[in-house]
Amino acid sequence: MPEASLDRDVVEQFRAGNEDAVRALYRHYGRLVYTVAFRILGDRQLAEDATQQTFLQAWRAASTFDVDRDLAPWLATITRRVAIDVQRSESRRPSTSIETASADDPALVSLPPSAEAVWETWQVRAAIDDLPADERDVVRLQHLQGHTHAEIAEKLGLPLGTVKSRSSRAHQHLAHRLRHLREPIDDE
Amino acid sequence: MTVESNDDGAMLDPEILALLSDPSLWEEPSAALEDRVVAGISDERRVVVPMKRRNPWPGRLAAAAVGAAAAAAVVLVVTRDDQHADASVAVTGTNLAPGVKGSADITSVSSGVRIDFSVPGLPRRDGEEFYQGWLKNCAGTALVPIGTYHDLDDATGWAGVDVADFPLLTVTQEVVAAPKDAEQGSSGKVVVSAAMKACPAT
Repeated sequence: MPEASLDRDVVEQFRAGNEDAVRALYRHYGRLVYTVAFRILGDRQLAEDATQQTFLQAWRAASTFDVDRDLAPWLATITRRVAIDVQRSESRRPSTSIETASADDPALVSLPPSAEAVWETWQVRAAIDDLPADERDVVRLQHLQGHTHAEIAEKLGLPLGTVKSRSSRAHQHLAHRLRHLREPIDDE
Repeated sequence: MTVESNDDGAMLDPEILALLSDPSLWEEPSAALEDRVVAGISDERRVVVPMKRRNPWPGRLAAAAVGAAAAAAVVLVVTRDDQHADASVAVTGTNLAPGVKGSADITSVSSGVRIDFSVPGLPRRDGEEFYQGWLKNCAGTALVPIGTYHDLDDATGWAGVDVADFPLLTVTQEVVAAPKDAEQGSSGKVVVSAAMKACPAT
């Protein structure tokens, strides 16, 4: 299930450049836009530049957007395009020679992620953000840090049973929330 | 360290598990980014709104039908009442881009004429492929390039000619060519077009 859409009025106010609406839109989608940009660019500063540019382009093109549709796929598409443009721009900059370039040098990055991969990233981040903070901490320590339940219990000073139940609830929530990513897409 | 084998991750697909272990999914933007986003849009609003009008357009232009030569597209020309541009023209897809619709804002400044496209729906052209904008005279005997683009969702062209003499606006699909190659000219593959005034019937 995608994250809840913003109120139609907020989107219409965003079109007009209303500052409160811009902030509301950023607070709803900013972290998702940033996550997609960071995943493509792998650099905090470039990802923030791309995020700013994404919202600017969204505002410029907002008059063409149907306010009755979900804003998220449209924003994800703009984010991908902006991040790819930033990536290409960075790769054109004169840089170090191929022999000395690091593995994460933007100039060595080639194929951008597909629109589907970007949308999956967006959805997974939205599902993570939707978890209660205590469950999110357990999932982060488990998957990002690679800790076992016992290690997490020790690290957080919690009983092992509590960690296991939080983990179970969190994964059930993620599985439910993200199940549509594996469902066949119906043609309209 | 690895996630223990009896973990709850078995409920999730491998692709989702891979994303959960990707640091980028857990990154947080800086607290200052919200203000940057708001300032970026506010700044642009301030730049766009107070534009001084030179108004080279003859009063209120009426709706005009394009001649048969104009890619069989019917377009309308209207005068804008807001302060952003001198005029806005409807841009319509040809048979190479059926159903594509949008607009182009025309603004005269001292250095030339700025043409701001807002035409969503064209497939992005990358690598050696691109779109190119043109202004053409009514006779179709002279062509002026205004810029090249990946797409026309939000694109800007510039012209150093008088749009009264070159009122037909077209965008073609092109490929990169060598200097002095005949391919450097228009391919003739018009994807969208518009007219800024009616041309005499031929």
